[in-house]
Amino acid sequence: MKWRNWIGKASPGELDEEMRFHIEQHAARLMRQGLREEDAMRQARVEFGSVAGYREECREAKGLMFLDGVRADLQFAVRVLRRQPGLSATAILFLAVAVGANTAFFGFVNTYGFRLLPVRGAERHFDVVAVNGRNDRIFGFDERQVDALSRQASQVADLYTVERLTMPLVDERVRRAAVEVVSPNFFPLLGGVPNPEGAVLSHAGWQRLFGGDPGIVGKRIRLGVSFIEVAGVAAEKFTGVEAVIPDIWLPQSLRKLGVESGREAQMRVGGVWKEGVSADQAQAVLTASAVALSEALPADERMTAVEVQQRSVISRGDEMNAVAVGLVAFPFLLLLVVACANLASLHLAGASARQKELAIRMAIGASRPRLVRQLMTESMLLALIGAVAASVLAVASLRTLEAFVFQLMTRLGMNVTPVEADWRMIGVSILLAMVSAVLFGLAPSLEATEDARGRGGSLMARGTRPSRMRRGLLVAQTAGSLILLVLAGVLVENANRFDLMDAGFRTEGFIESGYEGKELAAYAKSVERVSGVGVVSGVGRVPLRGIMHRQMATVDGRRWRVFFNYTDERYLEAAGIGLVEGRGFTVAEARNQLPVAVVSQATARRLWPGRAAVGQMLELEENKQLFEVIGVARDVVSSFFFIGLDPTMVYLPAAVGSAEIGNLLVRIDGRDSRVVAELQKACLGAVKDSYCEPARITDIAGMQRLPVRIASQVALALGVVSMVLSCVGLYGVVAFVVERRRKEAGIRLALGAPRWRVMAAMAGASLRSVVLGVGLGLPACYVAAKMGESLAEYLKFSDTGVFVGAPMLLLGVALIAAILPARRAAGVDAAEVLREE
Amino acid sequence: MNPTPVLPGTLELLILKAVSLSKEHGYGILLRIEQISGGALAIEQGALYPALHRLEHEGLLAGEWGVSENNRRARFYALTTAGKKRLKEDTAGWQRLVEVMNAALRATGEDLA
Repeated sequence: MKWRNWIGKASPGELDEEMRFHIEQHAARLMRQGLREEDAMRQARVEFGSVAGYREECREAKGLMFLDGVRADLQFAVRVLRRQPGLSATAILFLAVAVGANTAFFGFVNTYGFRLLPVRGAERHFDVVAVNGRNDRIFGFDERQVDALSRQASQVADLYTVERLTMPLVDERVRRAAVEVVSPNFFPLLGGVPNPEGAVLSHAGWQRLFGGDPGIVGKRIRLGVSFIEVAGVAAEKFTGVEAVIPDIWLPQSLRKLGVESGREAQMRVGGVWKEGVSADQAQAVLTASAVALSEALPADERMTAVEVQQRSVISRGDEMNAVAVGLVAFPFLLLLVVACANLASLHLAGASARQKELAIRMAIGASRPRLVRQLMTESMLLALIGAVAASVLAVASLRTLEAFVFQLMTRLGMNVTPVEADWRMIGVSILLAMVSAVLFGLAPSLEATEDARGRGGSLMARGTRPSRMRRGLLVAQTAGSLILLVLAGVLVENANRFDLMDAGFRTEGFIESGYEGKELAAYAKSVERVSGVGVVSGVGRVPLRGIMHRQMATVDGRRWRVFFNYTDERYLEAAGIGLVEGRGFTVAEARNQLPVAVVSQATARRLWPGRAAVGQMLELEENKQLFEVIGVARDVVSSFFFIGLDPTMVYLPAAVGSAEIGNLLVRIDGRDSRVVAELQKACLGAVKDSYCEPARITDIAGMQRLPVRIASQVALALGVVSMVLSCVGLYGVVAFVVERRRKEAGIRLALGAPRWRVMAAMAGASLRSVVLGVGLGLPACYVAAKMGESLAEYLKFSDTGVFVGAPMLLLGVALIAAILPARRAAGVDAAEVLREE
Repeated sequence: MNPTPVLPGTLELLILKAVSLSKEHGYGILLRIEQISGGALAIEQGALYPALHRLEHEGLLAGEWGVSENNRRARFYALTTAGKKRLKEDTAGWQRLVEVMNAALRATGEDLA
């Protein structure tokens, strides 16, 4: 009853009508008593009392005063914004960009950290991880262990298994397909559909590998040497439980069909605990199975615990992730802070221009909190509009950003769970905008009303003293922009460094065969027959794909950790790695894996300083043998560019066909793409058990550089946007100062001051703040750089070029932004200004 | 005799009593109060309305728009069940207060023993 009253009769019009009726009735009565109409009306009004006063009392009685105030504030705020379209539009733009960038970033974090897994029972989903005696975490289990776990857990949870493989998909080409072999309850449990009899394609895999062929269901596809029928295509939403979406799901029963992997299945185990069961119960039950899991394991590998790690989202929520996300979020939030500082400056200037209006309102009785509420309403309104614009911007650019950030994955043929926009993103947008509104609105509002109160006595006075707050804001936004620019500069610097870095060997025309099966020797023979192929060599690990293996070596009683790689006798020649001393391997040495080694220059310098390395002996612990050094090769980059030239490298002999040689590296003389196609055909013909995807070493090197390049581009975008924001803000502040101090400028000019001095007077305070901002920002950057260096050994953080260039750039652009409006001051017609009064 | 001003807090009780006799609009309630008090109480006319709306907000009166005797649109108020209850309670309370006050004001020196 109360609610209806409150909502229903909030209109002031009806209240007036009620009271008017009363007055008229009373006047009628007075007229019946003999008064004339005007006298009756007048007396009725007098006897009634103040309509306006009673109206307010009524609304107060209904608790509507507050609502009235808010509505009035909103209407006024809209009028104010429309009166200053330039200012409002600028503010909305700043907010849209800064909040939009943060919202887009959050979109990524949301998809991998907050959105529920697209499977049934996501809230009750968990991973099973075991811990053994050595405190290693075990993620993979064999069949026997999975059986033990399932039996143990059957009362409290349903367990499923996933085994990830890559298999060759053979049609006109041979391509790598990412396959997950899953237990029979995978689809019923997580997807709510009966267990399919055949391969299930993911939506992404269906698009990528089969071009979205509408007739794919029922067709037989060749994986490896088996033909498997496609039972269906999963819904686009169903992407499994990981960030990377597999191309194909295979039932366990089909796994045995001719896939050569040579090792026992290593399955990841996950589960959904049954409704009504708590996480702790599930945990307790599974831990009891630890002993059963440990049969047939050596003592130190026995399981001591089985953990139930709840996971309802894609990310595996460990601390590293949180820290990494925080680090990346920092520049985005800094951009928002810079935008807020700018907005606060603009807001301050705007409120300052309304001094007279504020002073009058205070003089007729408005309280300071009331005025502050009014000004804050304006900020909130701006923020709300900005939030809407930001959301639109962020959502619209999501696909583009996604494509940009995940370039590397796409090139590697991986399907990544797409970033989706949802209500959380909009919510974050609004939240950030509101917080910004408080940040950029409150302080200036307080300051402006403070000024107005102080000026209560002299309405005509204008605020011309440089406000401490205004200067403080300029300092803050300059420092923030500088930090972002320096960050961008450092990342760009590093990206360039990697680009220029020479691997030390000839990377063009060097192809990796991309074959990972057991018939390498057969493949090598067919490769040699392909025209355009120069040297064919075998290698253990392909350079630049990852980090090389290391083992302990002993030389003259001292132990060293050294990188090593198995190569055949032709590798050094194929790669174009020159020898500075001694010789390479002979065919016999490679075939028989004799205990000889070729070391890199750096290794020789380190292990045998001041002596010739050739002829020396080194003992390798893993090989449990003494090797004789027969040659010294030039230093190259075999692992990652950011590590640089190999600190150590020992080449050990092995031949194609042995277990140690897993890849072919081919030097070609013919045209790249034609020969690569020929290589693929040769593969199809020769081998049956794996995919062949030849890759250019130059491409592999390029992929290493990509992440840093992407990061540098994002940082550069943030830095440039921040700089532009700051300078537009600076322009606005100086323009405002010039406007306020026109009279002063006129007088100075009239007294004969040179134009440049007048300009300096106008822009001086602001520029001094900018310089101070740079002065404060630089040391902060320096400290951060030192911290960064200790964290990431291989990235260079303190490049003088960046630390000198970034401030110069910022100061230069700021100077221009300040001079442009200041010039107007110098162009003031003194006589005209003095006439204005 | 000059009309006595209404004690603060009693206006609402009078309104409840007036409305209890029949549904009325604001002006009618004023006239009713004049009637039942025999013209001896002076009421500030406009003050009626905040009191009416307060009572409505508390759920003791139910207001709705209707048509007056002379075909004008007017807001009529009626007593709700809660209002009836409150009228009864407050009337009893008032009687009690009057008795206590009367007793107190009749006290002589002898009563202070």
